[in-house]
Amino acid sequence: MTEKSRILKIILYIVLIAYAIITLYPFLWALAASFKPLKEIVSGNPALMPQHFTLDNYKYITGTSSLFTKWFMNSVIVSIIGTVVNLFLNTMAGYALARLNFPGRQKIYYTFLALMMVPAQVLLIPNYLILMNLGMLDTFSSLILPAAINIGNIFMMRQFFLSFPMDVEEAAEIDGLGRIATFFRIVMPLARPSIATQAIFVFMGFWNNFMQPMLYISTPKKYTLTLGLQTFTSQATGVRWDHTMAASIISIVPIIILYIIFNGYFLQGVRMDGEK
Amino acid sequence: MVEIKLDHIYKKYKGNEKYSVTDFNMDIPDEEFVVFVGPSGCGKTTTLRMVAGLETITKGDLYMNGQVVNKVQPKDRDIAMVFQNYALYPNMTVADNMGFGLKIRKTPRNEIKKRVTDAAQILGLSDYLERKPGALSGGQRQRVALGRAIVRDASLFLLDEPLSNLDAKLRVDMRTKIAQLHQRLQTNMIYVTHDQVEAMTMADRIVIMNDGKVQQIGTPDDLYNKPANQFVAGFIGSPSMNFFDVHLHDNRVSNEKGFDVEVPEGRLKILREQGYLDKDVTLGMRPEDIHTEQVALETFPNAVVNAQVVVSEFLGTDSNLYSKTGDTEFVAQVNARDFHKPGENVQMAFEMSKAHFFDKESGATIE
Ligand SMILES: Nc1ncnc2c1ncn2[C@@H]1O[C@H](COP(=O)(O)OP(=O)(O)O)[C@@H](O)[C@H]1O
Ligand SMILES: [Mg+2]
Repeated sequence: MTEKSRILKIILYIVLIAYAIITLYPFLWALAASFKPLKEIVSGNPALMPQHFTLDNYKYITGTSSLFTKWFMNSVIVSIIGTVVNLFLNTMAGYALARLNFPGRQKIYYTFLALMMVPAQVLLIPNYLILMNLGMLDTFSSLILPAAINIGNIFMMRQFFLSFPMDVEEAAEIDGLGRIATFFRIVMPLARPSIATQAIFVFMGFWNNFMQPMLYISTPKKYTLTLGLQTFTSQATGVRWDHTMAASIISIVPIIILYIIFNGYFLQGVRMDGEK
Repeated sequence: MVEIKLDHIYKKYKGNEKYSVTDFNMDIPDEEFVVFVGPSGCGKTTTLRMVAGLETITKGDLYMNGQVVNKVQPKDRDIAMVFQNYALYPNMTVADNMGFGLKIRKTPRNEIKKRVTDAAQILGLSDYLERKPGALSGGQRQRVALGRAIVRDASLFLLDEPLSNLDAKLRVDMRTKIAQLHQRLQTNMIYVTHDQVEAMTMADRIVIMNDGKVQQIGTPDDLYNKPANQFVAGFIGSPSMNFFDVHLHDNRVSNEKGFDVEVPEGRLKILREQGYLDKDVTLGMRPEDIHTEQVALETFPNAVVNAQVVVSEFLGTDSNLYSKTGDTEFVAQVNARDFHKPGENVQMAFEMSKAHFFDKESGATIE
């Protein structure tokens, strides 16, 4: 029995390690390529270590002749504002659905669930038309507003608040807080782990979004990173793999930072009820 | 500093068939220590929560100082409350938990600190002020919950089983502390417990509930000596009152199993007047009104029962003799010197002038 399970374990580890290498290799290759001159990248040499180590790629994309820095900042602005708006709205909506008594609450909840099944692609054209009529095309608002709430996250927050101990909120009311103050001063701080989880997903969604910027944004100065990156690969001079790789590496840095910041919350199991 | 009136209050929770509280009707003058007592699920917490404003009132009116407050938010009722499940803020330290209500009410910092320190002193929590609730034992959390209430000088204190998770010694200790606190603060307190000993020792007045209905409201003395019905009689007192299903004929009550005692004239008169002659009634005897001493056997020769001891408990000053006569089981509380071993046949005298009689159907006291 133990012998058998040990063999199983070894097999499992071999599979996992192989999988890790397969996933990691392209990333490492991209990282290495970002330090290589274009000629070396396209030479077909699979070696990871650059033969002619260079920082030129980074210098170029962060330099004045490229809009990369601008796009990076655009992405940062859109993603941060979009995330903050989402966190507030999703959390409050989830709370309302879980806790507040108002007529039609159940119906609204089911409507939300039903809407969750609508594929995002279906909404592209209606959204485009609405944004056009509102005169919002080619603005950051066109990227943020239609994505200002996220039903999946509302649902997640609702589930969280359902398990949130009611009497902690009641204690706060007795202590002298009104409903709204209780929400912001007691409930929100205790919901931090859920909100952090939400934050990562929402931020990644905005950061990696390609379809909407491509459809709604036309001025190159207003491009987000994803859209900008694409221009590297479609230049008349051929695909600039060197610039693309450097830009790609920089573009994943914020995600990594975010993950490091919130990782603690991800893993942290919180005791909500003040009991054993 | 608040007069409370519960005016025919009913509560039915959404989705429930039954009312959880039925026709609760009571005036609570200022400075009174009221205890709600009753078995689990009888509606104590529900009533308390309606007073706090945490639960809507289905029917009836709640008055505070003459004003209907049914719709007033909890935060505007100036109450402090201890929750049955503590309800501490998990993200705050013990000190912050206790001081939070004061902070909300814009109490100066040093005043908060002073009161929290004092409360912690009283509750034996001084060493834990910087801990989070997660790092405390159940009993310590309960004391923090209590502390959170006592630092506030609210005009009404609501306590929902605040001592249920403390060990026996600490519980007795805290009982005194709460009584002292009530004397010091001179405010209304409503205290919920399922423990009749707590109710009897602490209350000015007790409200005893069963199945959502108030059974009796009265002083501990009233409830003990003049219970309104069989439920109250059985709930108050430990060991519980003994009940015997008997038939009243001539001047005696008896059953087929050989139980047979004489009813003194005074009691008999009432029973006769109420038309219970030749009817079935329930006889209630408190354990301490059943005696084994020789002098008692001689004093009450017409109410002596031959019993056999089944289990005996030695308690120091007293002993409890769980006995049976015929098929009827009962317990007698006798002087510890009159200890009898299980299996012994003992003569016991029923002090019938202390007997209680209840209607067999309704359980109401016959008086
Ligand atoms: N939130 C609720 N929803 C539905 N029924 C409830 C709720 N709270 C209590 N009850 C019911 O009301 C009755 C009284 O409960 P409760 O007041 O908690 O009793 P106690 O505090 O005396 O033990 C019980 O039958 C209980 O099941
Ligand atoms: Mg209760």
